Amino acid sequence: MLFSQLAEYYEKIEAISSRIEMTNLLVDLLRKSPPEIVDKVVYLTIGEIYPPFMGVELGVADKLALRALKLASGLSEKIVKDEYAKLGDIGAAAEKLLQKRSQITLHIRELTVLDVYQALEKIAKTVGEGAMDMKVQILVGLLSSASPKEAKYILRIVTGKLRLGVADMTILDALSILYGGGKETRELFERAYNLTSDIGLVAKIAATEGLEGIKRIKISIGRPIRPMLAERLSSAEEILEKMGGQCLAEYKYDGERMQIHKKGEEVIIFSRRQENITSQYPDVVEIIRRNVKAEEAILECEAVAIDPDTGDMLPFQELMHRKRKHDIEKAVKEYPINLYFFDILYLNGRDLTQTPLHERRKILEGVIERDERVNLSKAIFTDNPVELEKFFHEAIEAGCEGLVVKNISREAVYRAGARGWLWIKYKRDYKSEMIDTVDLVVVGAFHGRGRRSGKYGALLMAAYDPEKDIFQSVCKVGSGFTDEDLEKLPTILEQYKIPHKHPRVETGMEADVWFEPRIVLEIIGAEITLSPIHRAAWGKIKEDSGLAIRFPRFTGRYRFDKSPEDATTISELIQMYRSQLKKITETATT
Amino acid sequence: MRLPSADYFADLMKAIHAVVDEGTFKITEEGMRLIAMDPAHISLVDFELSSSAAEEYECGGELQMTLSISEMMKFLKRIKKGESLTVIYDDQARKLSLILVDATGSRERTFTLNTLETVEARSTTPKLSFDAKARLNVDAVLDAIKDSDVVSDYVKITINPDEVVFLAKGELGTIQTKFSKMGAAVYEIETDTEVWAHFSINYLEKIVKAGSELSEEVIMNLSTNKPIKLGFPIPSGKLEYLIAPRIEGT
Repeated sequence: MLFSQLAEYYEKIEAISSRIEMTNLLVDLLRKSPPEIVDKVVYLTIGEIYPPFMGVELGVADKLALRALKLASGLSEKIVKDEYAKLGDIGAAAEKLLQKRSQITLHIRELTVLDVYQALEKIAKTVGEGAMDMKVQILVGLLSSASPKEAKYILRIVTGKLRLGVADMTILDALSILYGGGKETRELFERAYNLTSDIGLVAKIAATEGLEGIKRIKISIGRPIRPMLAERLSSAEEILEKMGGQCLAEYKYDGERMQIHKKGEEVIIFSRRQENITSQYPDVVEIIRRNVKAEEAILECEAVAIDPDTGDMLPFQELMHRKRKHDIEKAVKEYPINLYFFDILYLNGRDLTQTPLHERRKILEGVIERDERVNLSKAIFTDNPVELEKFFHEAIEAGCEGLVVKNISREAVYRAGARGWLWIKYKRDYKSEMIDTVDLVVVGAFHGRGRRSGKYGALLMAAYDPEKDIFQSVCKVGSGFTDEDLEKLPTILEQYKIPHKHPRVETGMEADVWFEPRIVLEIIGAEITLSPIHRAAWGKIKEDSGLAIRFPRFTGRYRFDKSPEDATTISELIQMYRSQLKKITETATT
Repeated sequence: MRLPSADYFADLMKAIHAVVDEGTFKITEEGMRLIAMDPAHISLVDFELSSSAAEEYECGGELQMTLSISEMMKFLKRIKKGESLTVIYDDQARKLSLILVDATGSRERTFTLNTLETVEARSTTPKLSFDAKARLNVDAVLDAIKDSDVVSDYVKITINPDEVVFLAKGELGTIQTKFSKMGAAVYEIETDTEVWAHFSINYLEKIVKAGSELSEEVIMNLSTNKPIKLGFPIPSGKLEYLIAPRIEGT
């Protein structure tokens, strides 16, 4: 098949806006594509060369593409750059400039789809020293044999800007019409796609084995399953109603969602977008080998960055240290992670996606060996909106985004690739960012572990309520302490140590050590949130809730100048909470 | 392979470098050969050096060696006059050694260069037939090309039974150089008709300049609006180029 034919279709597709017409054109294109290259036609049409999980990207910058265009056209850099600046699209610029090309080449051959695909593949796979020059050379070779129109699409594909408006879903429509006999078979094609995450493969199987082949597609280790997604609501009552009165509510960890494939010792980690991220998480690979008691399994978990000193969960951003290509080992040490498993889709040859959730969770419990680093997602079964909401605030305070509430009926299967009401995200609509520090009183402490064993790992901090003349807990803080701080804190606090909770202290937490309220420390946090555990401003904002500080840390300032009664008061906290309360605008979908 | 003059080898590499930055040599008992096109497929170099050019030549079977010519040029710039050169290629380690010995044999320098992985299949020369052939003095031709550069970035080359003409037209004006069959710069013209084509000065100049370092004459083969073949006779070898034409009005 000639690439010029493909370019013709692209030109037609580009010119229409109706999805039906687009689908018809795709049907026509797929019919004309030889079965042995139909997968490549499909990848090119969506502007890719591989399914995302292969982790190979074209990644040619416009600058590089311009260099290739300059060489292939024989025009000056200025002319090429000016045209690009004028049109803002490298493809259009190439089409226009190459029409003016008077320089002919030594041998002109007609490009086939395979020629273009293989050249792009080579560009994508060329790495290392001199790779940029090599990529330019391959591209120039391609452009010098291309017609202006072909060059337009080649350059758009190579720079990741094809944007025909053809999505995986449109291809599925076309495939079901062409090979399934009509839209009524679309569900089968969608299933095949959701289980393989590879639209090219689905097209190829449809073209070579027909509908029967599509039906035979199974889950396989090494191919990511498209993840099940959740709808969103922000009230406990509404959620329970949708769930039919009862549910499984899980912490929605602020981490990276992973789909983990294990086969013997081999472990592959896929991101939520089906990218292979195994190399970023050598520690996860180790954990899976050690803690997953199954020969073959596909599991889902959240990886959450942990403060190694306190064991507290850190925000998602801390995982960004893993995105760098270098120093992974350093990141593994400095930003360790915990894994919280929440689903199992496949176990030793058995597809579990059609098994109801509560059974999957039971199987998961049997497969995961828990330890300090590894657990199942924290979850409760409940039919009570008050309990659900309490659990929600607990999750927020612990550093989670909220809850994922899941249907536990017999119908609660794993719906790969679908967003539906079987799972519902329970997230906050509002949050109150903390912009000022507060001065809080130490009322208790927790024994440290690991590096901090023998010292205090975290302190229980309280604000002052002048009305009742008592101290109400606001947070447990373990971050921000230097080694020196940790060394001297037991000495400083020793004289205030008492065998039980001080009568002037109110908290829902059980500390290991209690103190007379005396020492004041300066604390900053990310947010002030509602809390079912901490007692500050209890019931003032909301029934059965106090205020707490999310992601608290010690600023380093000891306020020995302040008496405990000079500490931040409950009414100041309420004021801070209210003045910063803002609606959360969603940035990314999760 | 040992060559009496390191300078000569450097000039040969420079001649290849006029077309490509990187190339794959085929090495056999008969000698070494390289055919390569520039990335834009506008020019081609066809190079051959027979084993007889060397004082000593050994080759255990046929092999391919891919080199960054631009990297090697950096080494070759360090060559001093009068040095002899021994080239050794270790196919296993993919390392090329250049051993330079001065005239008195008092100093021996060894440069070792990592070679590259051979990726592409070798190019072959397109089959072309030519209607006209002319042998000219290379420096005269180079001058004519440099003159043309003043007004344009391409030049029309015409060969007819009586003369060879270089004509460049630009906004500034026109520059024409005529070489008559009778003149000293023309050694031979072989054609029945007049043929012509336009070529990019950029390519022409690079190639003719490199050729002029190695040969006193240039053999031009041409047909109307077809690629030109430029041959530079070298002892025990072959150095030929093709350049694709530009299609301009007459």
